[in-house]
Amino acid sequence: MFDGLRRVIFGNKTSSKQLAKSRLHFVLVQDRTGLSAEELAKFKTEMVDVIERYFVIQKQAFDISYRRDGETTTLVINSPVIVRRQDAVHHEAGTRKFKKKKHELAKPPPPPSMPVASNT
Amino acid sequence: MTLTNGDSRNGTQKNLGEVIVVTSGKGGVGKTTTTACLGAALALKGKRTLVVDADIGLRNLDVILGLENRIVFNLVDVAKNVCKPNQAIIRSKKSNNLYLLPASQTDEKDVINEEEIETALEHYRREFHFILVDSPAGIEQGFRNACAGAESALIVTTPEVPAIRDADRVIGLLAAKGLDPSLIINRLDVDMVRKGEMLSVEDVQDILGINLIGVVERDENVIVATNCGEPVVYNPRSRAGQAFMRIAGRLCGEQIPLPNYSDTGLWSRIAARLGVG
Amino acid sequence: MTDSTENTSPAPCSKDPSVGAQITFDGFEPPEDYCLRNEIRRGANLTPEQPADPAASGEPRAALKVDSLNAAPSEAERGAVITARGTGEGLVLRLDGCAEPHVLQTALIDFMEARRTFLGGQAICLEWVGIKPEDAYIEETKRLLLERFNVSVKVSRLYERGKVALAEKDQMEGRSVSGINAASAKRDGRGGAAGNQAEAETYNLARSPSLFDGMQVLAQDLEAPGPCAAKTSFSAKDAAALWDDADCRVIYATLRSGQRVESEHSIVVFGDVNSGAEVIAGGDIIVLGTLRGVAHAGAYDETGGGRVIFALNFQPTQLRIGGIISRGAPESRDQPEIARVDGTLIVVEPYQARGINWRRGK
Repeated sequence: MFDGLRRVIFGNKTSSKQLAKSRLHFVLVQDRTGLSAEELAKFKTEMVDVIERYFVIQKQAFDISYRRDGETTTLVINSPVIVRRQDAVHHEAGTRKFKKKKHELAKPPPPPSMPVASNT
Repeated sequence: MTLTNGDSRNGTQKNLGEVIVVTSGKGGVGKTTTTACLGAALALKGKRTLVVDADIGLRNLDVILGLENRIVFNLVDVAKNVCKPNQAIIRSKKSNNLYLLPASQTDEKDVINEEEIETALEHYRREFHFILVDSPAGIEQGFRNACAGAESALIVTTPEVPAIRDADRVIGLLAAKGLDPSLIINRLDVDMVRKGEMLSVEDVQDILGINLIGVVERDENVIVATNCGEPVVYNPRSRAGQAFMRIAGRLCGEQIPLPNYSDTGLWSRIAARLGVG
Repeated sequence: MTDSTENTSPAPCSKDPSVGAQITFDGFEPPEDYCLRNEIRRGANLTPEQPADPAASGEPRAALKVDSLNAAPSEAERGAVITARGTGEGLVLRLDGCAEPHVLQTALIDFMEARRTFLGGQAICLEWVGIKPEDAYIEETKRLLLERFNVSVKVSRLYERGKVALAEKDQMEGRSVSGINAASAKRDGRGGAAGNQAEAETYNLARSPSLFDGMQVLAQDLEAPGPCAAKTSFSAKDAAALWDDADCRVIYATLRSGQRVESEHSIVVFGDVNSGAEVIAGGDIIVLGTLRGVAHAGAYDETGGGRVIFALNFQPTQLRIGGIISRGAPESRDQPEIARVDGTLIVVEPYQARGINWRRGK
């Protein structure tokens, strides 16, 4: 009881449990995906970049997790989208450039060149 | 004798006992104690139970049950047909329903393989409601041997980073074998959880993501019971013993709710509401 | 004493064997053409009080007399070079590797002639005591045995010193020389695996324990029982009741959990036997330390064969003698204790060297 009271009055420093949780999370993603820390960070930034070409997203809420269902493993990417980009941002070499005009919106947009979820 | 398994997870009636492997990955989290206590608890509930020590070379289940000086034959002898199956099992001191099949102390883990263990366990499946197999730590041949012939698995972990990490690995391996694991959290210290110094039940469940079958609190009576060679379930005042009885009930298909271990004291809730918890 | 020569001829000794023999070999230098075994150790005093054996009366002490070495080997001397034992692997002929070839050959022929019908067609083992002779010599011996007596040799090896010492000690300390024969060697139900004891006959044998390095043995010594003989003389039957197989395995270490030692003979452990260790013996088990593990004596005999388990500190997990199993007693007395079978139980009692009058279930 007094712990709770103490936390109300003095605020809560990061408890060792919080530290344990974050470390575990870190370690388990590495174990489950088989990627090292740098590779994981690189993967994340690249994913964010690619999605940002087509959508405006909340970068802070961007999350990649790895789920196991029996024998299949699933990479789940959670990316809250604010709005779809009307004009795709053109990056350097390799991407198609297209502009959406209002009259073209009736046509279904071309499918994104990258799937959001992949089964391995 | 027709055995009916009332376990709601299976639903079907079987004439064979259910083989459950108790494993963890990490050593020292309480697999052997859990196996012995669950076996004793199931026996107290009237189920004929066989506990099998698959930790060849480092046997301990016999010591926890206090049967170390009654061992003549062991699992390796049964697997190699040195003795008859009923010569190797030892009835426990306190219960007519609980039997032990000990491991060999002088051999090593690769002295038998999965097929031999499966064949050996087949001898006992008609005689017992439950067969609990105590697995050694690790993920090598000893672990594979212990999982041979098992239909379901219990993963034991403590709320600590290394144990959870190893349990996660083992969950993956068991899933690949087609065994559906359930989780037991051992040595939970409720005070430390409330202080935020130990991962809570919800935290562990979140991380591991499998069905939780029980939580056992940290209890000094367990050490005392080990010293005396009696499983702690025979001590009615022990909280760990009570927890094991509840888990045994759930294994039998009873619906027993989990006690509340979360840090939900009044002030903790206020702190959480204010965003400082 | 008036002999003032400082030369190295051996002191002459009396031909009368009844004269007490304090034989010293000071100043004895063997001539060069004798092999090593002829060099008597300097200053060796053999045991006094060697009662006369009628078979040796009138016989010169062959080794002392230099000139007699080239003479025809005497009866007793011939006997020195061959010993026969029956063991689980059949008949073992122990031959003196340093013996003069003609001595050995004559002895061998005599030995085999006497047992032609019994040994014909058998396969035996040869053991060479002291020094293993050259291969050509061994081959010749084998050929002799095969052609003349139809006896084949399965194994030819060097006899180990330790075994010699034990065996000889046995024989020095009580077995009468000529009388022991097969009956005494047959143990009732002793050691199923080691139990195929063929006729064990000692043909004028025994080296004194101090001369077992292949040294030439005096004829007199051969028949002379050791000091114990002065107190009692064991008949063949008594000897059989008191003496056991000479083979015993000794372990100079503490046995840790998970270690297991198994032997068809007796086992002595110079150390502890920890909980989780196993000692399994066809004979007795003697632990010169604390016994906390499992001990199984008389393991190859359903009745246990009268075997015992001894320990300085008795705290076993389990005791087994023969087919009887017993759990260890919880408390241990702080004294050496010994376990034996009494009816259908295993009884543990304090060890008293004098109070023991049980014996091998005979």
